[in-house]
Amino acid sequence: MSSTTRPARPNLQIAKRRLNFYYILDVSGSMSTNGRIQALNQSVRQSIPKMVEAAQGSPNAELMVHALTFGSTAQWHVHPGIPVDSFVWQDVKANGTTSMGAALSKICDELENNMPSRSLPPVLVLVSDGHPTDNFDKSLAKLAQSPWGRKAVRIAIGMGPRHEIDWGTMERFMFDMDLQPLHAANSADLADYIRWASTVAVAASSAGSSTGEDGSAIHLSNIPIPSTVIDYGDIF
Amino acid sequence: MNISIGSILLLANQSSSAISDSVSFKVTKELGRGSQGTVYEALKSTGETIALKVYPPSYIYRDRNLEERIRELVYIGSPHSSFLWPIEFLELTDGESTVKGYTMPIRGERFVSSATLMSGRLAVDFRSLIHACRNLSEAFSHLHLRGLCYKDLSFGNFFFDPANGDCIICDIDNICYSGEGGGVLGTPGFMAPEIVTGQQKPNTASDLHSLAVLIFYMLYIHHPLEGKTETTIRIMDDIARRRVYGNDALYIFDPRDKRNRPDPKIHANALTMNEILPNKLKKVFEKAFVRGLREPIYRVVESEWQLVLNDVLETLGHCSLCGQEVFLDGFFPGSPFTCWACNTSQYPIIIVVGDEMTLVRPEGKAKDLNGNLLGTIIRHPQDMRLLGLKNETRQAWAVIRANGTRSYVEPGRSVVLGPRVVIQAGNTKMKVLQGLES
Repeated sequence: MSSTTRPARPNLQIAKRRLNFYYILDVSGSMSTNGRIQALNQSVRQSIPKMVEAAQGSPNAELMVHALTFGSTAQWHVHPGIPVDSFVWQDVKANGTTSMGAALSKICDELENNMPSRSLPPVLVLVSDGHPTDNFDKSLAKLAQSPWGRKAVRIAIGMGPRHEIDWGTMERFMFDMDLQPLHAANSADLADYIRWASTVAVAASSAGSSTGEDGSAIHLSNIPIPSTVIDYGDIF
Repeated sequence: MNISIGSILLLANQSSSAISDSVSFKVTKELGRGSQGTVYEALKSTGETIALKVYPPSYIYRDRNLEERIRELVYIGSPHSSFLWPIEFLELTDGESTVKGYTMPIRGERFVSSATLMSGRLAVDFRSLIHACRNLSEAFSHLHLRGLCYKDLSFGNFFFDPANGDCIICDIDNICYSGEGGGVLGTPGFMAPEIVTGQQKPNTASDLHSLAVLIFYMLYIHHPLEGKTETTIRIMDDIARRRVYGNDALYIFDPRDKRNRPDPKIHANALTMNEILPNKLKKVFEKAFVRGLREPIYRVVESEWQLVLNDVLETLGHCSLCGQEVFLDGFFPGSPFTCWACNTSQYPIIIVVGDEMTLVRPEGKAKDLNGNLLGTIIRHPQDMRLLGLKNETRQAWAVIRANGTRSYVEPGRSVVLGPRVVIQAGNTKMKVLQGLES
């Protein structure tokens, strides 16, 4: 036997549940203007270290990151999911129309067929300026009816000037979430929001964070959005 | 306000003419973003490095008596050194806008999050874990004795030093007098059933449940209520959590109601540790999670945790074959025990002074018949299977080995303890035996 100076307890790890995290990213033509797609790539890339940190704070969650893009078609960019601590972001490019409906439909199929038997609520983070060009409502209805879609933590981040964003679509995506879509007017906001959404949504899903006074366990509205972005008294 | 590294913040109520002798804080690092604010490391103009927690104005607005609460905590002062207690409540300005927050001590780098332990990424022995649990109980005891309650115990706010079990409890923002409102309900999994089901607001009794859950987690690396019921749930959402930790909560080792036993595959930790941990500790968990689960007044109080954990430490034995820590469930020098790790049956090694017997275990103390300390038992730095007695007296000891050879132990040096070693310390003769033989 080798001599060490310290006894070893049985090497135990807490029982985990899978937390599937999905970036749903708009790569339609409108995202190619004003450096939006570059900002998006950079924001997602910068959200990863914070997400790793959030995952470490929620040891019961096995966090797997996925990414789906939608332009002329909806395509998996990262699938199957990759454990967050070995996740590396490959840039996406912008082109074509806004097949958001097709993207949600793909998410519905994924939630129906690929949810592991021990899961935490999946997290869906949608980044878009809205204006779907296909049948978004039909896919949204499907998502709302699917048991996992209903339980999912859904966050929409509107990107671009406020008046150009189709807020109705973004709000409908966040049904029952008790929180308004976020508005990223510029790339600094986007980075902050994606980072916020990634970490807070992970904590909410895995219940690693505190619960507020009104008794429900998943609570985004109680967790303040970074004050550098929106707060009472801020000028906009 | 946009706070970044290098930002300089001044006390908001100082006039600008007196700026030369005013107090300022230079932000040097972001330490973390909690659910209630951001914590920075800052260099105070007086020279000390402190932690600075800053609240977003919206949070102050939402949690209306937050400022009053923190100011009260500053006034009361820290009940125990383990709390990262607020030093002063401040209103700070960068010259344009103001923020509110408070200062507190910096958490030392030797402290590790309990979440790290849960991930299996931490080398730590049972002794340190039990010390950590005992220190946590002691800190909670002092808090509760002041009439305060903590409300939000979880992995995220409990840190400990793996070397010795010193502990740190942070995020004191929700502490208030038990029964008074404000702040959060808690973290799911750590909340007592009556809080999960909405029948009660957090109070001292619900803190006791959270404390028992965390102690259980630290030792079992598992939740005391996650058994068969939990395995039937595919997605653990808020409705499911309300069942497992609230309405249908049932202890996995409830002696009478066996419906929620651990699943051998998913909850193997619970079963493994239940074989290793001593019965006296398991009895206290049973009290906490059987009757105490539904009847808050029967929960295990801190003094009881401290007593049982001290007792467990005093009988945390040592396998002389593989060096592992073995819970002996009492000190019976004449009875053999079996090591959980190497499965060897053996008699405990003891030090006999007159008719007093001491168990040989790390941290054990050897004393003369008048109760004066002679030495402390320590691990051999190169070989964990060996224990030694460190001479903490002012004179050298004479040592006679089993084969009759003699040597001396100068003060501050140690002698390896093994059967039939005899140590003469002044007038006191210490005989080392294995069991009661020879």
